[in-house]
Amino acid sequence: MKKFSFLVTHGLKKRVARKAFIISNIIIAILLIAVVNLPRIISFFTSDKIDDEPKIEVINLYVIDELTQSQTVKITDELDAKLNPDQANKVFNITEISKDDITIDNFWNDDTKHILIHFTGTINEPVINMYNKYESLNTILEREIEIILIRYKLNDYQRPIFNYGEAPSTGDEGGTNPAFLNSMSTFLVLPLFILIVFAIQFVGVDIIEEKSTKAIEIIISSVPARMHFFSKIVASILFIIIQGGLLIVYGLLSGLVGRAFPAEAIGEETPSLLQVLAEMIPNWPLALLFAILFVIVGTLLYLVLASLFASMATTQEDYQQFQTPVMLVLLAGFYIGMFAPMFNATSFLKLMSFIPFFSPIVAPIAFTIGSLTIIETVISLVILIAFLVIITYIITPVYRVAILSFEQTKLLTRIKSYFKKGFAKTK
Amino acid sequence: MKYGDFIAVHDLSFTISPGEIFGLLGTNGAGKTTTFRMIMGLLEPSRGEVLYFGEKVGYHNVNEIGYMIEERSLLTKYTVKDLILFLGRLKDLSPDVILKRLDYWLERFGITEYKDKKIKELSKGNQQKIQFISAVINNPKLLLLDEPFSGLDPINTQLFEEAIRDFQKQGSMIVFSSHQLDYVESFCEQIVILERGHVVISGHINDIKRDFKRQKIKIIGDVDLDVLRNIKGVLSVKQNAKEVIVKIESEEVAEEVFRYVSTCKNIKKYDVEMASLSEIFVAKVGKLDEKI
Repeated sequence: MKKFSFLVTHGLKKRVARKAFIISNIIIAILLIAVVNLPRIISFFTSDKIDDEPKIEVINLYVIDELTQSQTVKITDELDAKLNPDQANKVFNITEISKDDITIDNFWNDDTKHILIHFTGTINEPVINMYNKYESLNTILEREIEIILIRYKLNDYQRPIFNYGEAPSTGDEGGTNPAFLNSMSTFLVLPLFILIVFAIQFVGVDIIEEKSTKAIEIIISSVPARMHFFSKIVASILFIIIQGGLLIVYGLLSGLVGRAFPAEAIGEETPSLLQVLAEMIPNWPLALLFAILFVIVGTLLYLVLASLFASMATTQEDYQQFQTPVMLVLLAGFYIGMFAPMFNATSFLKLMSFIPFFSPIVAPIAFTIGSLTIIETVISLVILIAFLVIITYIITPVYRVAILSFEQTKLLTRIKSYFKKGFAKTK
Repeated sequence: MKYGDFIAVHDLSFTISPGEIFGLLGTNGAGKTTTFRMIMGLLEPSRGEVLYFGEKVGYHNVNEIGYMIEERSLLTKYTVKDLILFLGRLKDLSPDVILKRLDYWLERFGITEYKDKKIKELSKGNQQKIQFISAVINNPKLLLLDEPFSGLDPINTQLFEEAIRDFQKQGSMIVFSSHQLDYVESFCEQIVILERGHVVISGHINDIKRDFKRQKIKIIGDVDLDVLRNIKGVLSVKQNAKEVIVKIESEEVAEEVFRYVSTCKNIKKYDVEMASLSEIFVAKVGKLDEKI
């Protein structure tokens, strides 16, 4: 046990206490913080546009006055007086029009028309429909309109109802589902894939370094092959947990950094990417938990396979060739997780969620977008764990044979030979 | 020891006592490395067992054994210090003890300046020294050295010899293999010569030499080579620049040769020598080849 814990610690230190790890994490943290806060950052740096808005020489404002009941309010004149204190240099060019003179579509498409205010309802219960291309002016306009209305309705005053019309969708933003699925795929699948690839690379390089230098013979003469095998797996999974934990910390950090961009400075609260995702996935805590569990068990599965192939290889080049089947399977899982939601192939996604080689990547996304229920996701996880146990049981004796062998035969011949020897007689 | 139908080592048996140096000889593929691997417990013999002080070799007593394999077996990206610390920890040694012993060996081999250098930056000879240090860092009671002198210059060979002798004095058992039979002859009390997995010769060197009847006679003087060739029991007669070398079947033939030589003129040298280990090796291995 002492040697096992030493091997695990040593393996972990080899990965973590390296300049490459520190530098890559600094880069990842900066990128993550930037990406998560991109909307805020953009808003922050473009917020001066708001200050500029009133500086526009003329803001063309159109008023449709349909207030009924004691129609004594001269909205247009009053608004003109309020918004243009310096009548000699008017900022707002206010024009009263009738309802028939303009359509909403026409307003949004016409660059010369900036604000359209449609007064309707009664003086007791006014309703103001506002269409504003300078949203930051809404607050000012609301305040000025209220002041005008209060003057005519001091007693029993009721705040008018303000309705804000939104610019029509350009088509890119239409249909939240594809956008949602797209972002989900990228946000979940990519980190899972990257973490598993990292793990495969690390364990492979580690084992092959020891094997290609023949140091493995000295190591295995001091510690059992089984202990060596499990120490590599444990060190790698601990590394992945640390790296995954750091990613979560960077995520939290990005939330804190987001607060550094004050809401007042940008007019209104701009949500971070995490907030947007949290809004889109109501059950995100469970989705996150499943993603973590699947990535841990899935990484273990791929680590076991990668360790086996590394033990069978004799050189780095050999290992690159040997790991290709594993990488292809992983890649297939990645593409399924990435594209199946986009093409609405939910049945296919569901099916793939129960196949252990694909489920580590596919199942979390399937659960997140609602293709899998909680029970189904748990079943998928149980299948994955059971498969991992069986694979480990089969591979361990083969690893013991392969790690000390330097055969140069073809891949399949070698695999066959090692399996035969592994199960013929164990040390 | 069998690999499928192939017999790697057949019917090998020997015993080593504390303070003894044992030589394992053989051509390439003779089964030396397989034997070392069996001793280390890395390979399980198909039949028989390897006992260390009456116990089977396993991971419970492996900390008392040092093992140096024939090829370079160093993690080349490590520094000397990190590598020895790593391998020493695998022998359950504390870092303090490892570093103390490392300093001693680096000093003894005159390579203290390489302590923080990466293995890949060292010359082959210095890498060989580090490999030796890694094998002896646990002060082993049983030291297995597979071709320890290969690639070493005479000065470094002497350093290794002295170090091995020191372990012998401490009471360690040493098993080593070598192609250089001169070293084996001057170094070992006991040897085994393997050829294609079979034991060709086994036992104490003096006994082996005595039992190996073939001898050679070195003569300087005016002798008739044809007369020598016609003496019964003479295997070959060869004229060198200075002397005549007569190979004979057994010691008895030497008397017959002497009788003839004593009749010749200008005889300055008549010397009967026992066969060298190399000659015994060649003679025995050649014989086995004929059988196989």
